[in-house]
Parts: sequence; C-alpha cells; structure tokens
Amino acid sequence: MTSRERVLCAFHRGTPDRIPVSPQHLGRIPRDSELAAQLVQETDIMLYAGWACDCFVGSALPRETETVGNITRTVYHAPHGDLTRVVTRTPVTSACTEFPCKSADDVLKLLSAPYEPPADGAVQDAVRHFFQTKDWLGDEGVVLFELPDAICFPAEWLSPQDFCLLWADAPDVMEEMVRVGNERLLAFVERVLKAGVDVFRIVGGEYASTQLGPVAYDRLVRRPDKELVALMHDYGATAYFHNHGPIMRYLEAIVDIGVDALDPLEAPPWGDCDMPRAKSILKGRVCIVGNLDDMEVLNQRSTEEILAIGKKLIEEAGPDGFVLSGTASGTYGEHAARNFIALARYVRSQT
Amino acid sequence: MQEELKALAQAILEGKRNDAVELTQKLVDAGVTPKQILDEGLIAGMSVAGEKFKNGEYFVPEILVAARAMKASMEILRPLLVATDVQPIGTMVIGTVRGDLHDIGKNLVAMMVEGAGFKVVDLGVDVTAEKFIEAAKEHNAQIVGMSALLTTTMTYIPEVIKAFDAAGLRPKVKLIVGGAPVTQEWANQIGADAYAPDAATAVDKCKELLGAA
Repeated sequence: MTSRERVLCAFHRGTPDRIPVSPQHLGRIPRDSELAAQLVQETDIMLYAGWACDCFVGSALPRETETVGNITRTVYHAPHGDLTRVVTRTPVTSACTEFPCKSADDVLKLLSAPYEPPADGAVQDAVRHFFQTKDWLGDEGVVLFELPDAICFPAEWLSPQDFCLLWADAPDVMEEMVRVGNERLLAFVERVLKAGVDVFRIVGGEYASTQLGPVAYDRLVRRPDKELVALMHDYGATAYFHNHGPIMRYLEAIVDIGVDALDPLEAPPWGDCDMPRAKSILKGRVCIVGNLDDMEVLNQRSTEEILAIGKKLIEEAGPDGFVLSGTASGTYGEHAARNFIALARYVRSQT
Repeated sequence: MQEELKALAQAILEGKRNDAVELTQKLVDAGVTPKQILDEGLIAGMSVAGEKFKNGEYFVPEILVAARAMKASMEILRPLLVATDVQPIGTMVIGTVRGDLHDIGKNLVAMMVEGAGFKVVDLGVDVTAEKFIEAAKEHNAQIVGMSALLTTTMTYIPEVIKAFDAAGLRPKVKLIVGGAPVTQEWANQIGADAYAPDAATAVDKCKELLGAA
C-alpha cells in the first residue's frame, strides 16, 4: 500500500498492511528541510490545506480595515450598526482582543446584514492550495481540506466569555447563528466538493465539548455537523473530525455525526481518553487517530519510551481503524519528528 | 434567616442575578451580618458551582452566570464589608503572561477565586514580570497566578518565577500556574508553588497555599 492508501484504508475502518504512523502537518519543521523530506518519505503524513474563505459572513458585508502599530481594527458596516474587531499582535502571537459581537443584539445585527457567498476566485484559490499540496505530497500521505464547522461562526464573532454567555442567556440566538452558519457552510462545501476535494478535516467541536457542555454539543455540533458530513459522503468524500479535550462522553454523538475518523483523543491530563474503552465504542464505526501528546510526550521522551507507548497504543487501538498520530497541536519539533520516524520504522519492521 | 441564606446560595448556584440581589438586600435589611451573607450565601453558592464544574456537571456558562449573580450581590455587600472591616481570606494578583493575549481561563480563575472570598487584582493580559512584582508588592498579595494558553508564551512563566526569586519575594508570595499547555510535571520543573488544571481546582490550591483549606 502507498501511505495514502494506508491512511485512507484506516480512515474507513479497514485493516491496512500496517498501522499508519502519521504526523499531523510538519509542526515546526521547515518544509524544505532534510528532516521534512524524511518525515514525508518514512511516515504516512497528513497535511492540512485550503481554507473556508470567510463563508460565514461572505463578501457582501462592507468593511474597513486599518492597522496602526501592533493593532488592526476592522469595522463591519451592518445595516443596523457597526461591528468592530480588533486584532493585537505581540512579538510571539496575535489574537483578537475585541470581538465584533458583544451581545445577542449584535448577533442579530450581523445576521440581518446582506450575504453574498465567497466569490469564485476566492474559492478557487482555496481549492488550488489543496490540490497544489496534494500534488506536492503525491502518494506519500493524505491532504485534508481544513474546515471550521458551524459553531465556529459564533466562536469567531464573540469573545470566549460572550460566546458562553450567549449560550446561557440567549440559546435561541446562538442556535439561529449556528443554523445560518451551517446553511452558508453547506453551500460553500458543495462548491468545494464539486471542484474535487475529497478529504476534509472538520474543526470546532471543542468550543462546545470543553466550554458549553453536552446539551450544546448536541444542538450546536451534532445536529449541524451531521448534515455537513452527509453532504461530504454524498460526494464520496471522507470526513475527518478534530476535537480537543475530554471526549469520552461525546463519542456516541460523534458516531452519530457519521464522521469517518476522529482525532486526537487525548489521554489524561490533557483529555480523558481511555483507549481500550474508546476503541470498544468506536470500533468499526469511527477510525481513531491519536494520541501521543506532541509537546510533553513526543517532544520530550526518549525514543525507547515512545516506542513502548506506541506499541501499547497499537495493541489497544489497532489493527483496524487506527492511525498512530500526535495530538494535532501543530507545534511539534525535531525530537518529536525523529520519534515519529522511529515509530514508522518500528511498524514497518513488524510487517 | 437560614432559609433565606440557603435560597441566596441557590440563586447564586443557578445564576439568578435578580433573585440574588433581592435576597441579599432582604438579608441586609433583616440585620444579618455582611460576613454571614458572604460566607453562607454567596461563597456557599459559588463553592457548590465550583464542585459541579470540577465534576463535569457545570460548564463555563453556568460558572459565568453564577459569578455574575455574585458580583451583583457584592455591589450591595462590598461597602458593608468595608464598613465592618471584614477582610478577604487572601489577596491574589493574576494575569496572562507577556506575549499572550488570551484571557478566558484567567478570567474564570479570577471569578472563582473571588467567589471563594479572596480579593483578586486582575492585571489582564500580556503582563510582564515587573508588573506582576509591582502589583504583588502594592496589594500585599500572598498569591500570584500566571496563565498562558500557548506553548510559545508559557516559556515566560519561569522567567516571572525567577524574577520573584531575584526580588526576594518568595516564599512570602506563592506562585500558582495554569493554562492549556501547562502540566503539573512542568510546574514542578520550573519551581512553581502550585498548578491548577482548571478554575475550580485553582480555588482549592489557593486555599491550600494559604493554609485555609
């Protein structure tokens, strides 16, 4: 099997010729380095590509952006009043420090704004990026089109605190925002599917699972994402689901969404995954992708320790529907990369 | 008045701001001491909310509305507590460390620690070691809490700890750390006095650090 075939076989709950060992993206390894080439060649790597083209808000909402020093201010001119976003940069990061919607009224203001889907050119750029990455990688792994799910609409337009308060104070407004977001997302995804994108990585579940709880997860993630995944499956595409944090209580909901694969199923202290139990719940229904912690385990522990942990995971989660992977932090370094390569060599030696 | 105090705790627990305010006022008018209202009404309610959060029964929205109800009641109580010289159980300075702009975790800790009867001085985000030290001195804080969301910014926490050592403020000031990438193992490595994986545990740890658990 090629790496691509091996990973896709596992995603579809099959038993590949050997357990795929898949770093997620290249972490902090430069793409043109020798180590990156080695990762691509020796492991069954997954790369992320593409983007969602601001499909929740679209192209019709007028906006003005101004950058002064380390602060960028964008004012959106909605019909019933302006909404302002401020992004602040520090030497090490940048983050939204003022979110456009501060209340349920602001959300309604946003939803009442005119909507035009992203322009063809923008969608083509995102799709082109996916196919360019796919061409670059060839059969050495799988490229996943990065996609936020509908709960990301409120999560990106309200501060974490206001997002949580909106669910507490005006759940109907939150549900409406997610419903509208999902409607727009589905239309966008259909365009991308028609362009031939075949594997998606859906992100956003943890906004509900870790912050809002099971009721919200059911209404704001399970219901809309089920429609999203059904659409992907209608076109023969693969739906890969990413959800950080404690996950055990949500596994049945994720099965119901219908996704093909799930990451990262973090073990304590980062999550609550009990791998044998997770396997017994998901077996034959959802492929498990995980769960070596990128920073504390892969990046810190010796190769001997990593091999011992990897062997145990393979016993617990393999041989069908399992991809031995990290925890998708996207920040692993050289030591972790070499540990991935050691794991891949070990797995290869067992076949 | 025991029934009203219980009802107040329940109103806090359920995040019923208007009920909490009404009950607080009623208890004040009835002559119950501000300290008793604080301990048996507000802190009692927040304490159960914290337990529920720890057990996975409550999530962030429930904690936020409980804290909001408590804050509204505190508007009535605060001047009375000052007038009767009721002291907080301790003072905590808290902030997200330099370079990091994320604040939801830090805010939750601040709310819950305040809800447990501490005075909390929130320095916000992107806080330097100098600001932490200055605030700790100014407010005579026994505890300083540091948060980081990113692996790229958590590396500043040990620098703050070293700065506190260099300033001769330890062991007088206890340093507690938290945030998504932070673990107990790492907290031990860098010499923090305590680590809390979540806001409810932070309350327990702060009490332990003061010997008030």
